[in-house]
Amino acid sequence: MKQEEIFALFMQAEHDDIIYLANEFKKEFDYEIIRKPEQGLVMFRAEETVEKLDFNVGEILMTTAEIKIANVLGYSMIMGMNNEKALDCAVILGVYEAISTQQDKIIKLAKQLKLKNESRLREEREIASSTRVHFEVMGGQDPNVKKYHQG
Amino acid sequence: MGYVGVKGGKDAILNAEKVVEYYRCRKGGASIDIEQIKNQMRFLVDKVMSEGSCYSTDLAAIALKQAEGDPMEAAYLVRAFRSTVPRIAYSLTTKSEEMFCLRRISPSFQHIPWGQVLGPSKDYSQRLIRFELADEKELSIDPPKKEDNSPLDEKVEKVIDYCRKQGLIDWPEKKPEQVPYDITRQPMVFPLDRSARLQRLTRGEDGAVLAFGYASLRGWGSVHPTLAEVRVGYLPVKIKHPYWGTEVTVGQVLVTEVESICSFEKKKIKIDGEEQERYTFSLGYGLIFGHNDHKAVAMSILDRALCSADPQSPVQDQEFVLYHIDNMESQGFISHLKLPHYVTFQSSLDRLRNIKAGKEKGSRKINKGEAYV
Repeated sequence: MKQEEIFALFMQAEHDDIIYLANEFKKEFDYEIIRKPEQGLVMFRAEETVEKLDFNVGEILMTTAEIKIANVLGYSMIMGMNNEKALDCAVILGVYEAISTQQDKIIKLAKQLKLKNESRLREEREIASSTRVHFEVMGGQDPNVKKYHQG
Repeated sequence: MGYVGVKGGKDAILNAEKVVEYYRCRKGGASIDIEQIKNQMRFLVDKVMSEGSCYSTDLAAIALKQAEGDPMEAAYLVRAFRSTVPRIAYSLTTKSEEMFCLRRISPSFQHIPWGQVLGPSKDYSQRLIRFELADEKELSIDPPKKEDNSPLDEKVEKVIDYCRKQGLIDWPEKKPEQVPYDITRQPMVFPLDRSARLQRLTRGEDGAVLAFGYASLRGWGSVHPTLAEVRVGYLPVKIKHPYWGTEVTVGQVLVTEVESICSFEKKKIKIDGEEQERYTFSLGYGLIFGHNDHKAVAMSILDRALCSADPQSPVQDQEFVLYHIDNMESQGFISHLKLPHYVTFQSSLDRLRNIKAGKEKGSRKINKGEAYV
């Protein structure tokens, strides 16, 4: 599992799912808070589809934190306002980079988070699928519709 | 127009604020939980995030509680808050093809790849008040589901790309050097860059965007589109990791996206150095925070209308539309009329009294019962 995927899984995880591992690391290892959790804004950019122009959709409220553990930085950025979760994520990511013996433990949890996320998305997909519809054209099929569909 | 300030009244102003708070609390009962607002007032929360131009369901819900459900006031609170928080980054550009769709319909084609998925929608339902909600005790419902093993990261083909393949719509060329305009950092100078117009439209007040879009449909503009596609779903939020330098995903935002197919237009293009005329459909685009179909549709109408090189109606006029759709500015200016205008109004009073007394040069005395025009 790549570090970028691990980062993404932890940043988007429920706090309750990662808190025990963060607490374990906090007790076990010395770490220094380089930047206390604080709120900041990220301007969200999207590409519109008419001319493929980038534009600024609006800002997203984030919480970021940074710690140092064994001279390695641990960085987190999570959506919303949750200082505790931001700090916990920074600790876990810091440990991941600094202490190789702990990586298996982190990857194991990351895999659980991935499964949970996939399960949530699968449920969303199945709920959406239950609303898939085929409207019928009254008075018979418009031949143009078929023509376009067949490309 | 001049304005003369007033001072004093501090105690009364503070008490007036307390009275508002008293009105919110005086009936007692349980305080509304922020989670309840987030979960059961989803459309209101989405509206506040969109107009407040700041995505945070927590923030929007708290603002709504404070504003006692007034979305305009809540959006104002959100904008005020965001002005106190530092901007730490711009996200990497997200393409809407990456959307995890919850809803996706196309009014223009009956059969589309991936199908028509209504998602959470009451478009086809009767608007009848469900009185049983008055006695609802607990929230519990099993959602309808249909087995679907399609890949979760499957990209759903865009209807407009389908049309592009048939030569009905031009394929745009991405300009890598394009830097989007940021109206929160740069002044609005007309004619406004399209990226700035989109930013202004997406944070526009729901009712204003809807009204101008509707005006265009009713003939006060030339855009009356067929919607290529309406999508509601999650887009990933990606940033460049400050230490790794690589792309990482930090979360996802719920958005509504609309592409509308407008009238066809004649374009002159060069093929092998030779100028040729071609007819293709023109498009309008809408993308907003949260789930709000009608605002995204209206945005796409206005996007197209504002592309007009020769505005013939108010909704094609950039200044007219873009200066009047912002909640902060419109409600701020309207609300200022409630502030003391004693001094400025005094001059109007003096003038009218002078006219009535026949003192002003060139004026005549107004007779009793005669209206002054």
